Amino acid sequence: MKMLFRKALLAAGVSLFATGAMAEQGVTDTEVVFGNIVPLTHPVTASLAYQVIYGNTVAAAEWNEKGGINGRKIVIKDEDDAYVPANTVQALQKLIDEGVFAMLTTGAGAGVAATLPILEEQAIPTMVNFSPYEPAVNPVKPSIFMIGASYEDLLFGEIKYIVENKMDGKTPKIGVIRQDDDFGKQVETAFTRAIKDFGLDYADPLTFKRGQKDFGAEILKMRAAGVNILIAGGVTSEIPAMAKEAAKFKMDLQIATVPTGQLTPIVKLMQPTGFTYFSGDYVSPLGSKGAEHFEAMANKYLKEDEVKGLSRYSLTAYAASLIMFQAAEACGKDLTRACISEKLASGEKFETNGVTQPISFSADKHIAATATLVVEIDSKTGASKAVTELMDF
Amino acid sequence: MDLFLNLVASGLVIGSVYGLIGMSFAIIFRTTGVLNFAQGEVMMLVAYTAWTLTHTLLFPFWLLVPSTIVLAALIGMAIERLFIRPMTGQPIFAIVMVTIGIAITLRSLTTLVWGHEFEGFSVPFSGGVVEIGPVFLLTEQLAVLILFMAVSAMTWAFFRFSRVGMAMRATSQDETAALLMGVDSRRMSSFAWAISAIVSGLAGVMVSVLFARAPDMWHFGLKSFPAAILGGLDSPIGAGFGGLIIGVIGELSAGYIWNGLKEISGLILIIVILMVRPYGLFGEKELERV
Repeated sequence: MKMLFRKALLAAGVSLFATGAMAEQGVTDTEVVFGNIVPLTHPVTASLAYQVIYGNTVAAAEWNEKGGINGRKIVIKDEDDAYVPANTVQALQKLIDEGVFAMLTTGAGAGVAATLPILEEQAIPTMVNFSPYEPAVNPVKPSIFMIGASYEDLLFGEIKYIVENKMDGKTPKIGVIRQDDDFGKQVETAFTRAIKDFGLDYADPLTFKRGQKDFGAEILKMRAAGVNILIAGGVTSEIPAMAKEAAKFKMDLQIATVPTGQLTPIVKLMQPTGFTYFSGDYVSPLGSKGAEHFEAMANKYLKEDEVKGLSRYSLTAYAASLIMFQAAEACGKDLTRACISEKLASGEKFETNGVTQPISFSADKHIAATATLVVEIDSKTGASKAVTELMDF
Repeated sequence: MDLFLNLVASGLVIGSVYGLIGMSFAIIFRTTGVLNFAQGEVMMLVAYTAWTLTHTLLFPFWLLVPSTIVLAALIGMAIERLFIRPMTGQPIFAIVMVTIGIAITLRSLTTLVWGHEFEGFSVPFSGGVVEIGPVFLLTEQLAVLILFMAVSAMTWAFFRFSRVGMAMRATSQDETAALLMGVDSRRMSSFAWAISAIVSGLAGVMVSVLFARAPDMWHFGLKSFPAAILGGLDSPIGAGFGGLIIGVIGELSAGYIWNGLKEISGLILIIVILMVRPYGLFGEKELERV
């Protein structure tokens, strides 16, 4: 009897040890927990944060209906960083304490930068997608992956298109008004690269503090310098504010914007300016054939008002989530952080249901979906159309 | 010259917004001695309410203006009655902390009710361009300038000639004496909050028309506070002109020296001015006999 008890105790100990060794944080027999950090309470970017969550939600709901990740239900924990890098770090620490397995989003630009040391140290599989940030994957970090072209590539593609197709014999002169942060620095790299590659004449770059609304002096300086291509380097309402001032002075201007330029509220605010302007993207636009499956799933899993709030940010979040879930699925029952990172870097193709071309990473390239297309937006009608194919820059 | 004149015009436009909000700070301070740090949020709440009146309830413009004024007055009076009056007799620091609490609450309330999206605010006079010589102004920018001048004139006349205005001045100068003369100081406080909400609310509507109705528009309250300090916290008209000065200096420094000065040039000016005139350009020097 005593012997039997010892054997049972030993078996229980071995079983406990084995479970402890195999179980990865955030993974149980029934669920896998993913984390998401977005600026839910930042007044300007909160709507984008919700659009990201809608994309994650659709992907998780679709996957869970098919049985989850090898029978484990997908659970997503959202945290708010209010677009403040210090908060992004706190939010990540909280999610780690609460036991997340991997990260679907880790805030925007500066937030990603702030969390990189922790993500790298703890080897947390992470998919950067909300705001492309090249240093996250260059140099390669084993557990960190990114989809989407950098702001530099997106804007450079637009400028290239403008210079080649829209100048009508005029000599191009380029200017940039950009936010004075990491996001703005990326915007300015497109400006610098375009000057170098196309030999463009230029006006000195101007910066502004986040939250600035009036751009009278900035536009007047651009006008005085004779700028006819402007990179409007704002995130949201700054773009129409600049365009409105330019329209007042009847400037003959081609305007390049980051992908937020396609968002409905921006297009509506641009309407009085009458400008036809440009934006860039790496996902199929909503309403296109490539977004059909996503939109069908969104109609199935989201509420009516949430469907109305969808944007390209929902598509990028959806694609990023799908990639992460497929990599997790490929690990089988033995789901570990090391395995998911290995699967992501394996070169295997991941499907995004038409939102992007099939995505693949490799051991020395953790960035994908970098090909961009240029979108032309007619502010008078609100209509937008892709004017180029997907191209790598 | 073209650049200079347009920079000045641009500065006057944004300065008018700062000036209107600065005046609303000063109206409350002059009457009650309270610094209302929720001024930007009151401005935002009135602007959002006006947006609903015109874009959801489809009020015509002629009805929008009086409705907004009435609503703004009610909002101001409600805040005073619910949160400020119960604090009567408490240290001024505690009252200021209450206004900070109101500010945070109003910010959250606004996004809770209206969401995070920003929207345009169209009015019948927006969208045109007026050319005055080399100076270009949007019609809504011209409207802000006119509104600033009209509100400044009315505020001056109100405090100078009306019985209520004089009673408010009396309350600010010597509350005990005013009480002995039959002035109801609580009513004066209520009036001050109502008038202040009307002035900042009108500024908020114009901010929405100029830029967008957005959940971060309360920032204009912070940016306008230096205007009130510069002009003199006890001088509504002075605070208004403080706004114009800050707007013009900001644009000229950004245009001619360095763009980064736009946000800080006004503050640098304040430091210099306050070193010479601690009570602001138009404020009254307080003499204490010992």
